[in-house]
Amino acid sequence: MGINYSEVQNHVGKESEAIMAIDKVSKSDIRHWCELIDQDDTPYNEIDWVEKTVPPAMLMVWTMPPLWSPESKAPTAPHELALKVIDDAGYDGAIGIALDQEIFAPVKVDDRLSYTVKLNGVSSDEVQTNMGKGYQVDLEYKISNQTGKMISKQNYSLFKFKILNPVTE
Amino acid sequence: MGKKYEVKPFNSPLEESLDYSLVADLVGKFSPQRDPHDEVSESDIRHWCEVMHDANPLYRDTEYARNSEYGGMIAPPAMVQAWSLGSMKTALNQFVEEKLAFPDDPNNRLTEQVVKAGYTGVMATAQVQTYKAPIKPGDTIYFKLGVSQISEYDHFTRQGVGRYYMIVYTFENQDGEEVCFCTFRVLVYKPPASTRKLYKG
Repeated sequence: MGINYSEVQNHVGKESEAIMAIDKVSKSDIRHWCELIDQDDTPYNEIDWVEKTVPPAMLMVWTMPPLWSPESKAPTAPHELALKVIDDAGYDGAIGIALDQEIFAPVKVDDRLSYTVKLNGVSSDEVQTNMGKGYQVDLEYKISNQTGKMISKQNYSLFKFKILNPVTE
Repeated sequence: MGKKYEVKPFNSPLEESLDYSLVADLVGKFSPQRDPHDEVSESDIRHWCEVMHDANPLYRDTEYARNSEYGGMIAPPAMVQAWSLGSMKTALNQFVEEKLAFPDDPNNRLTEQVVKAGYTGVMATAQVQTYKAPIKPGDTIYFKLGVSQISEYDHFTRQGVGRYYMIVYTFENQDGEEVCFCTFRVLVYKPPASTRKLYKG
C-alpha cells in the first residue's frame, strides 16, 4: 500500500502564499542561540547590534511554525496538503535529509521575515531505507524581509516514512 | 578509603550544628542590583505560552490587549524570573565548575556556611510571588535578592535535621517601579547517614 500519487501530484510545483514569521528577529533569541552554539554569555547591552549580524543559520528559527497554538489551523498551503496525504497514508515519521541554503542578504535585528514554500517534488514510488519505507519530499523555501528583499533560498528535502516500531501508549 | 564511609549516625548529639552567630549578620542584607541579559521580548513570551498552553489573549493578541485595561500586550507575571535568569554559562559555572558569579551575595555566603556545617541537602519548600505592576515587552527587569530569615535552631524534618531560610527577591523595571516581590523558603538539611552513604559511596 502506498499513497495515492495523483492526489499528491496535484500539489507538486505549486507555491504557498507568503507566510509571515510570527515574531520579529529578536535579540534574546539570538543570545539563546549564541549561548548554545558558542557558550557566549556576553550581555546584550555589550553587543553592538548595528555591527553584529544575525547568525545566518538562524533563518529557519525565525520562520518556524509555533509549537502549540490555541487555534487549530487546517492545512492550506500546497506542501501542507501533500504532507497531509502522506501522513494520512501512515507515513508519519519525518526526517530532514538535505538542506541547501543560499543566502543573499543579511538579516538584521527587528526584521520581520516572511516566506513561501514550493513543493518541488515527491518521489513517485516508495523508497526503501534503513529507517523504513517512505517517500522523499522536496521543498523550496524563499525567505524575504519586510521590504520584500530576498534573504535566502533553500532547498529542503525530507523523508516521510512508516515508523518500524511505533511507540504505543 | 576509610574516610569515605566515615559518617556519623543520624541525629547524633555529637554532630556539630550551625553556629547562628556566623550567619546572623546576613539577615536583612541585600545583593547589589543585578542587570538582566535581555529585554522583555514578545518572542520569549510566545515561547512560554506555547510550552504552557496558555491562550490568554493579553499575552498574544495585540489588538485585544490594546483595548484592555493594560493598554497593550503584557508578559505572563509568572515569567518574572525568566527575565532575570543568569546565562547558561553562569549556570554551568555554578553547578558543574562550582564557580559562583557573585560569591559575596548574602545567599551565597549563607550557603557556604551551612554546607561547611554539614547541611549538604537542599530543598525548596515554598515560593510566593506578589505581582505589583504589569511587565510589558521592551521592559528591562532588574532584581536584587537578600536573606530575610534564618532558623536559629535545628528543625526535625523527614528529610533530616535542618534549618530553614528565606530568600527575598525584588524585581524592578527600568523606571524603578517594583513589579514583583518574591519570597523563597529553603530547607537545608543533613541527609540521614544512610542517604549520605549512598551519595558518598
